[in-house]
Amino acid sequence: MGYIEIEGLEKRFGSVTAVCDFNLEVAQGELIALLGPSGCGKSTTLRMIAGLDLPDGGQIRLDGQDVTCVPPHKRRAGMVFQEYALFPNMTVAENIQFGPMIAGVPVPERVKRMTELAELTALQETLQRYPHQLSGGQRQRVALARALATQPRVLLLDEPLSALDAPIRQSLRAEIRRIQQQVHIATIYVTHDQEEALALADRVVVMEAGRICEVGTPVQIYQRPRSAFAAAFVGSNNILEGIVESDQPPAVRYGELIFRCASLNGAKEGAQVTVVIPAENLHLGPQPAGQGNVITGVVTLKTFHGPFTRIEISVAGQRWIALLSSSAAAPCSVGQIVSLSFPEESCHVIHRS
Amino acid sequence: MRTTRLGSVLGLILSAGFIVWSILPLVATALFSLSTRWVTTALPEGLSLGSYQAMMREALFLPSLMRSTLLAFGTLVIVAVLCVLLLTWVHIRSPELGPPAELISLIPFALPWVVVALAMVRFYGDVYPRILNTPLLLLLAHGAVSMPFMYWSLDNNLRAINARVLYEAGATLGARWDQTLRYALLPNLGPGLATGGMLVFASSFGEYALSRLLVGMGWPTVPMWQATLINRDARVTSAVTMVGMSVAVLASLAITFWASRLRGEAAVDANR
Repeated sequence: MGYIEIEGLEKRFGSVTAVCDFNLEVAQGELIALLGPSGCGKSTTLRMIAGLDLPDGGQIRLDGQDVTCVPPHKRRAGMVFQEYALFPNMTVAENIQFGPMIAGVPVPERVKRMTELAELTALQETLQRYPHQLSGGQRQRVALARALATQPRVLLLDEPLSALDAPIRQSLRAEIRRIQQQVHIATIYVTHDQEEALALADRVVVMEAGRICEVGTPVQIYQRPRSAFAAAFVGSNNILEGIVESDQPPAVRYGELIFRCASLNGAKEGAQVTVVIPAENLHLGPQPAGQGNVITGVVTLKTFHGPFTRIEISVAGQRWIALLSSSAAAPCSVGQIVSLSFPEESCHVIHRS
Repeated sequence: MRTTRLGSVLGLILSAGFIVWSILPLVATALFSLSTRWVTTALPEGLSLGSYQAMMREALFLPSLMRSTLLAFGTLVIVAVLCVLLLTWVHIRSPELGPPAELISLIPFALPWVVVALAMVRFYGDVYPRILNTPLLLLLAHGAVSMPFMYWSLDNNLRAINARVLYEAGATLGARWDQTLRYALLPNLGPGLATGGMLVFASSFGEYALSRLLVGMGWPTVPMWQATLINRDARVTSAVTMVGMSVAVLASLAITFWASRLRGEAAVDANR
């Protein structure tokens, strides 16, 4: 039994179904990332867990207690908002103490809790400042400390880093994970940033059009997605729709090309399948010892990303993506004909029902 | 470079023109109220406090000043309470009520106040005739016509602080709606309350048409008393204008001071 249990959750806005048949269990101390494109229902789900929106169906239980219709102020679900939502009239110290003050916690206990959280979130130097005197990263740390000060049963984070610059985002991401593990609290983290979800979460829930598309560990979701949507949304993958050419040896036909795969994941000859080939598994030139699959195409675009270079290749009219180390990609130029190879193991087959 | 300098000079001229245009009538009124004789010269021929002394001797001076101040203050309180409650509800719980509320708030600007007065007399004459010719009816009328000043000031203020998100943050921290309103929203409404409050107070204090039509000389306010004075002594009328304006300015300063203290009071309460 999970610490947070969500069963058949549904939410409609007029004729639009925002969340449908959402089922999830979250263990105590676990961090779950809800990942998906804008409008897929991840924030709506989080708001229903917080009690800010009422579901049209389903049930939410926290630590065994049905909280589906419990108002937000009685739910003890701490939430961190994308817009920080700090009270502008209060200092950092007052913001952090707000929840305990409302709960009637005596001043000495409140101050003790605030001091501990300020230390945990490295805010000791800013306690007497007002929100407008803080940087974006500091504000979000205050929001986190404020949410934790109420000693919530669950921590909910709604795209907390999306308003921040890339370097601050990365450092704060690691800090959130450290604090979450230290506090050992069940946490649900909403993001549309796959890198953030993969780096932070114990498990990732990929959502599409209000439904859960796939749940798995970051490694599973990244390396062995079970759905074409997850494969397309997470990572830089080449996604090809083909037909199983033969089960032994396992091979898939994609247009004129035939790929050898390590496994067909149960698909039989003639079955329609989706083949996922991660862009980083493509190499310039043949594989060592002549193994694996080889394609030949024309480089149509080359973009430098520091340690790696992304190149787009047109193969029989189809666009392929390869992420190569920048040193390996150096000889490539746009318009050049290149051969790329990838091992059989990198062809992940998804059976299309 | 030349364009920049020309721009600065133009800006200076415009600013000076605006200040003169705003201040000149006030200075002229003040000078006229202090003048002993001012007919053919550019400036008064002599100055004295005679008009102010005459004003103080008028039997209706203090009562009408008290009535106008009370009326303006009462209007301010009613409008502020109504607008704070209505707008926080609209921003937090029912954003769909925003457009119709905005439309309704424009009605007093669209209708001449005389029409509003006649409509109120007609309506209350049928529904609750006992309220006719009473200061209560005048208070309600002033509240209705001056509400847009407060409405738009507070609406902008609530938008600027992102009231809905602050409310939701308060709720997830365990605060009931009234606690969030008390500690997190109201203290941040100081600028809106100050701007709206000044406009409401000033418009109610100086209002004539509604007062004349709804209560007449049975409950004379400063503008009504001034209207009777103008045919007797224009200098005393100017002196009354200056006193009335001073009251409005003092009230505005008090409102601004109170609004700026809202933040501090909430923080002190939170520390208890």
